[in-house]
Amino acid sequence: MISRRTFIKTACLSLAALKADALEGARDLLARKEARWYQRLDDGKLTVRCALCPRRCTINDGGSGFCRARRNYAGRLISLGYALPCSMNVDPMEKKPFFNFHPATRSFSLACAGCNLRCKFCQNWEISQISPPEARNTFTPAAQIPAMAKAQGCKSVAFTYTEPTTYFEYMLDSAKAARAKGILAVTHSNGFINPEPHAELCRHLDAANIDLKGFSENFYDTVCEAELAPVLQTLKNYRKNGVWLEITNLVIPGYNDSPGMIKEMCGWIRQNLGEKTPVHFSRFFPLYKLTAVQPTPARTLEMAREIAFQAGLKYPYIGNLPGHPGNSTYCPKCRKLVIRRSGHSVLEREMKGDRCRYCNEKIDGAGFFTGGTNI
Amino acid sequence: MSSLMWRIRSGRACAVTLGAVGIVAQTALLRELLPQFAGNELYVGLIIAIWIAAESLGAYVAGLCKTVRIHPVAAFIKLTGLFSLLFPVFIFLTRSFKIIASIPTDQGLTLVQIFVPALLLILPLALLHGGQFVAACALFREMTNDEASSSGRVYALDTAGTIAGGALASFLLLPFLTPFQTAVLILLAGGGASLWLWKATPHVIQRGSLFWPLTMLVSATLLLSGGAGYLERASLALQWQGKELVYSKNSPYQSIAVLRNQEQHTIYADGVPLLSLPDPDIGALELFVHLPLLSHPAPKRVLLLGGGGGALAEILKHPTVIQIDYLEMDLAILESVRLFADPLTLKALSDSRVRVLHRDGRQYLRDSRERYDAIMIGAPLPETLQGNRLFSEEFFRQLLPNLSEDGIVALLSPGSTAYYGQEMKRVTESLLATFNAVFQHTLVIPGELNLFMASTGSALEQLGAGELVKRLQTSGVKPRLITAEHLGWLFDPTQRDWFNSNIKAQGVVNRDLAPYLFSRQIMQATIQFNPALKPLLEQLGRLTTKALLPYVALMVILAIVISRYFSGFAVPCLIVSSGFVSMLVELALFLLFQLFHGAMIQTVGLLIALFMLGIWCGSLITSNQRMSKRGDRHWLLAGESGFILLTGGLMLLFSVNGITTLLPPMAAYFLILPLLFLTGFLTGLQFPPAVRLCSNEQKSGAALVYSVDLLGGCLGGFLGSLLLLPLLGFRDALLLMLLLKVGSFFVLQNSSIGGRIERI
Repeated sequence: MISRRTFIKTACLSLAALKADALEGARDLLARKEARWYQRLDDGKLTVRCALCPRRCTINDGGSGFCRARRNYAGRLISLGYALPCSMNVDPMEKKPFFNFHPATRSFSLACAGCNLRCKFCQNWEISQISPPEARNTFTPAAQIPAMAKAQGCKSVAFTYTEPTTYFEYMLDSAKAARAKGILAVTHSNGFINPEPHAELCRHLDAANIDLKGFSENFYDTVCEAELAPVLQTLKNYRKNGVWLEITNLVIPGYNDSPGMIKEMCGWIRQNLGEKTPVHFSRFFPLYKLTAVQPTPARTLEMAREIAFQAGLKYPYIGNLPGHPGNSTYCPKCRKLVIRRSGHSVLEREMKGDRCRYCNEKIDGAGFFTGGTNI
Repeated sequence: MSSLMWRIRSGRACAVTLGAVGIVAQTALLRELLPQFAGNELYVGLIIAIWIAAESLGAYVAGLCKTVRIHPVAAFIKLTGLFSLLFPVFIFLTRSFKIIASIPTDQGLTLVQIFVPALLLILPLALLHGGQFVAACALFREMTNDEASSSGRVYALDTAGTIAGGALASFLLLPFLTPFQTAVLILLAGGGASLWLWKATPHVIQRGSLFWPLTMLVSATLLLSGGAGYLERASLALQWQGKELVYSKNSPYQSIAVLRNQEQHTIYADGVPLLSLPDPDIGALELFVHLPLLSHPAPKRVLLLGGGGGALAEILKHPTVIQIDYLEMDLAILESVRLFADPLTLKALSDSRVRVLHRDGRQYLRDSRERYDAIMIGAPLPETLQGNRLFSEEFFRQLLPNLSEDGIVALLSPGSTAYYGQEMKRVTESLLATFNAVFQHTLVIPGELNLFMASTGSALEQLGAGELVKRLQTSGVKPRLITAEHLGWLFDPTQRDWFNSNIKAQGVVNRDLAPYLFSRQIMQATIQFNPALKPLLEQLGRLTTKALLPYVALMVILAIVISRYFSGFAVPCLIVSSGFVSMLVELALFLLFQLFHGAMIQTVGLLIALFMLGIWCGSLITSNQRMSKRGDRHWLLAGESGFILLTGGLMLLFSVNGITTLLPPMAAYFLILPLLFLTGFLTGLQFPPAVRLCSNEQKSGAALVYSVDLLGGCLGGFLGSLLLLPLLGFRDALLLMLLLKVGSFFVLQNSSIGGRIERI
């Protein structure tokens, strides 16, 4: 059911749509969704402070936050991307990547422009490094999303590509709408979010894949213009709140590929998030500003995976290197192959329900047997 | 021999050396700078413009120093010493500027990170060279006591040296020597000439002046005895910032380097990664190889163009394939692949079915009668004009006779499943339009990489995932990424609909002489590295000839009106336009050379030298002092008419459909070299009369003409190479030049200078 308010809004919009010029204006009006997490400052100049991410931007009247996705309109902080996704597509769950969560299902993936980080290796810089009004968007109320996902045979809705935190309100409303219709809500995020809004988000999410981009403050500072500590806090909170968690670590030669750093990271994950946390060591190819970095050698990724095993992690994977044995899931007890993958394709499953076919060990994760719509 | 003759000969030797060393240093610096800027030929314009401006500034400053009590011989020796000693230093700095400026070698450059180093690295040497020229003129004046003709003589000798140096650089130094070995020759030449001069003029030189020639000769000896090799290694180590460099070579086309990390070797071309072995981008290669080969019912003969041969092993997996012709234009790439290939690639390279040909794809297809079932363009999407040669409509047309009945052409381009930014959208639409312009059937398999396939037969009609899965299973090929499931995703109607809603068929066709794809790729990269300039760049990107025409017309009319009332305006106005037009035409011809022949980066010395020879010959004709004002006016008008014919003729030539494939590659030499000479000739022709006419009007006339010519030249280099030629295309840029020249013709025609005053 859509709320009365949304119904009226949509009806107004449909009327406005009769006239193309009016449509833009109507969209603009409707999209002026007030942000949830911010304070007004008593400086008499309508300044606000955003409380969504650890940057806590102080935003003057008419100004935007660092993420370019929140603007101060006369003392009201507006989420610019609300209901205006610039990307909507269907991806395999493995592409997010989720390997232990509803494998081989389709995921309705969407994004609004903006990001609160400045990673030099961003894959989607064309939408992450602009503000929503600069992008070509499709007005899509949150209430429409479950139907769209179902029509595409998707088992989940994924908030991905850019940084979902920057369209927090839309993510929240869409996740609520999706779950109300029995569709899972998952996110791929950088985890750079404050604990309070994060706690609110966790109540409406089923799974999260968080980029742990490196394991030093220096890396976060120089390559992403961010901090590591808040990301680690977010990871702990996800685990505490019972949201299924997987981690992606993009291994960039010369930047975050030292065995020492990887060892420290795996040790921290084991200790704070538990052995069941899947970690995807992903191969880097030249991207965005890092155009001349050599691709990650296979040996480096294998080394990272070995370190993770040694640290006691059960499910370390190698990504972006199709055909590598590290693409597959192995039973943590008998070490036999339980899900054989190549790239994003699931080729074989040697499981009974959510257990290993050979030794009956439970494989951590969810959705192994429900399968959803198989491709 | 009298001591005077001996002295004059030493002076001549110095002037010739000056020209030769100047062009050698300029091209060696250019050769080192361009790969630092990812090999983008458009920066040639920037580099030459900076060099010319700095050289003139040097001459100007040296001219101001007349009052300084230093003998011209001593000045010349000192400046030559400084120049020769600084040359290897600046080559070293060119390779290491990124580490000095804390710019990681693996990151793209912002415009500031390109312009500032280019300026700082070129400025000192060019300034000194300008200063040397003035000192040489003073030296001749001193020796011959002939005030008037000394500059002319130095100019002539300097030009002769430039020609010799340009040819030497193009055919010997750049192909066979490292820049530090070239530095030995520069030091020897400078040291030898200075020593001769020192010996020939004992009456003016104090003992201390021997210091410079000796230092040059000692430095040359040091470099010869191992120093050059050491500097080469040390500068490369700094250039690659501590990464493990295992191979490096300056080829005629680009700079090749191989870096090792663990057991992986990555081959770089002009600082951009081309191929990694033993694990290339498997996903990309499989998409590029298996889909096209599965789309053909039974591919037998395959032509692979470029890309380092990473695809060979994948192609060989197809049992029907009996012959693969693999073309690589650059021998250095082949050599590096052979040296560092993994066993699988080595095996593929030596497979009896594989024929490795060291040929340029365009030239090969011109000559070959061979027909292929699949022609695969493995080179990356063009970020250089040289690369654009394999992605133009003209080239695709060249492919047609070499395609078998059901033959398939394939290439890979960057794509997205999330969003198409403006430039990526334009690039993709342009590729689609270029394919559609030539081939009957085009099929794009959209994804994070878009696979473009085209055919003149029916192979691609109704090709679907089901059929491909069937063929995959019967072929026995076992790809890693391209599984049955993955094929399902690739042909998913959602992806296709999304792609079709983003990418329209009405793109701009990419042509040799209107390199839309290349210019958009450059725009994309510039936006990528300069996000703050995005609005401005997007504005510039919308530049069209139609939009510019009214402005140019307005400018011309304004100039005609002004020149009617201010007689002093016409000549500077004409010269500024001549400077602009000649520089733009020069660059257009350089780039045309690159299109026909490639390897412009190595031949640029010869090209510049020919242009300068033209200038000298032109100025020789009109530098006769006894010419009347009226004669001067006529010469200027004659020059204008020449420019009009030249720009008009070139414009017509560039309008001929497929001109770049009609003419043989040798056209690079027999057409472009004379045209370069002619462009220089017309520029030189106008200079002396312009100086004389202006000197009548005001005292500092010569300086005025000189500086406006320079201004025009710099603007032409800058705007021509970075905006007009790539964005408007050659024909339209030349149309604007024609308009400018017709305009400046009427500016002069209408003004009272030269002609009318006499009539009154």
